[in-house]
Amino acid sequence: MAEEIRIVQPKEYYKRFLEKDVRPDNRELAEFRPVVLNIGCVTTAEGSALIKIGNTTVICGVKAELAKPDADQPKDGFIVPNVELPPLCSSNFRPGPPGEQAQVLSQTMADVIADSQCLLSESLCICPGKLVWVLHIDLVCLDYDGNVMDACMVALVSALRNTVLPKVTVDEETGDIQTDPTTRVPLQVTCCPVATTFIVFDNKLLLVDPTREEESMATGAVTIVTEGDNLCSIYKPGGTPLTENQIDNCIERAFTHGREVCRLIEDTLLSVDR
Amino acid sequence: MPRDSRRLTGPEECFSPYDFCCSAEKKPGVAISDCMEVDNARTDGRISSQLRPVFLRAGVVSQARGSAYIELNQTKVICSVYGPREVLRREDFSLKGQLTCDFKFLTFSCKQRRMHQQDEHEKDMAVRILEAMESSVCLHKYPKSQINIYVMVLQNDGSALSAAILASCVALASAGIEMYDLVLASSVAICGTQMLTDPTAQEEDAILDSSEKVESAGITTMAFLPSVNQVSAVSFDGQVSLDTLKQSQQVCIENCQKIYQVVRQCLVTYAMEKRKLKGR
Repeated sequence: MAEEIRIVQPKEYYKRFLEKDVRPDNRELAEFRPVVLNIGCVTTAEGSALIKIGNTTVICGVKAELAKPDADQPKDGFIVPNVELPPLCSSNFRPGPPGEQAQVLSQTMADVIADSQCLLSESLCICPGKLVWVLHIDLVCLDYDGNVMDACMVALVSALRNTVLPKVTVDEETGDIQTDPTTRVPLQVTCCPVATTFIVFDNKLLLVDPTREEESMATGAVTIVTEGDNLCSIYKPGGTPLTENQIDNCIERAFTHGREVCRLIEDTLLSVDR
Repeated sequence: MPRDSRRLTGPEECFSPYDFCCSAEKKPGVAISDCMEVDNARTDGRISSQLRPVFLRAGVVSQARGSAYIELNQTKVICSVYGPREVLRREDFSLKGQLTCDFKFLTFSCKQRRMHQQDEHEKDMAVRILEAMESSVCLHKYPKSQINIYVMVLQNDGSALSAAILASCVALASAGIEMYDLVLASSVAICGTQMLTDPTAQEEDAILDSSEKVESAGITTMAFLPSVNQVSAVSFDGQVSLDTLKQSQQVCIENCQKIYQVVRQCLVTYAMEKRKLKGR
């Protein structure tokens, strides 16, 4: 019977749970889903990570290539993040070019990398004006059960931290490029931005780490990106207006969560040997 | 090529850093002889007729009707099945169900980076998977509807096609789609008189674009229905004599039968887990 109500009257179904401060998946309102992180799982990529937040799964691979830099920025390498939401991960997505949501996610990833300065494009320079690295960072959602933004961010940072590049040198006189695949240099990733997403249910309740079902019923959402003790970005795409108090509360919880996730990434990295 | 306006794009011309390695190690293992060490052992330590260990799990994608994940050492493939659902376009209407297949190598799954758009090779693989599965699925039971198979290769270390067929078969079965039989698949690489079971990417590359012309070289992949003892699809690339081809097919069938137990065990485990969840 309960399953029928869930399908026919999802909102009523949720309300009954939330009145008692619990969610249908047995979580409290401020409780996150368990996170599983696997770093370095794809050996054909220069760096990779797979994250599971509850059922939501995102895989990230970094593929490094060489290119000539832009003439006006001869020292800057290229960082190209792209998020894919393929039809494999949910019935809501159709085959074809990325939809609006995937484009927004890709742009957010690019913005966070630029804003948090976790990876400077100057650090990807091999020979100014001649040769720089291009990092193609591809994030693919394998199972869409809500909160893909947070999952993508963790996968992105973990994969970058895992990335090692072969040593490439350019001969000053002849301009010949020489790669030494035996010497590997890790990327200089200076910090660890973490996203925390909240949704607003029924114009008043704040739920953290929403599932797909909760996302579809949400009247508003806010994503806060923190980096250590600094705030990196707040993204609130419309919806229910929030009071100052509520935002402050969210930010505070985002900081606590950010530190926990950072610790998880550090711990996982230690267990990976390359 | 037109620029992709819906993705972030890097510079137009990029090249792989591994193209500039010293000539000695420029293209590791292109010569077929490099794949074989002394005493007929392969570089990964297997003997020629040995399969890689198969890791198979059903029910990995929570949103899909059925799904599967398969790992053959470094070859990793995920597959999900949606449907039966309604046909979107009315002109596609038919009383027989339709089966579609989408196949993609992830951009970072191979040594060389792949593009986001599906290329010819991937389309060809999708058709091959579809042909292998179609004859086994009872499509007449699903009028006016379609069943979609989506396959993604997370990492390719050879035998991606047979891994994809195995994953599709388990995903279809776990979705509860009616089938006449399971579809098993196995690959064999032929190199002169040698038959290399379940080739790795290094061995596949060596055989397909070998510079030294060998009399007979090729890769056979076969899809096999074990309980009705029929072959649903054979694909072969290369050039060998008819007898060798027949021999390789025999090897494929034997290997399929070895995998049969793994697939069955995986589906039984999945069914038990599902029943346990329902009982709660």
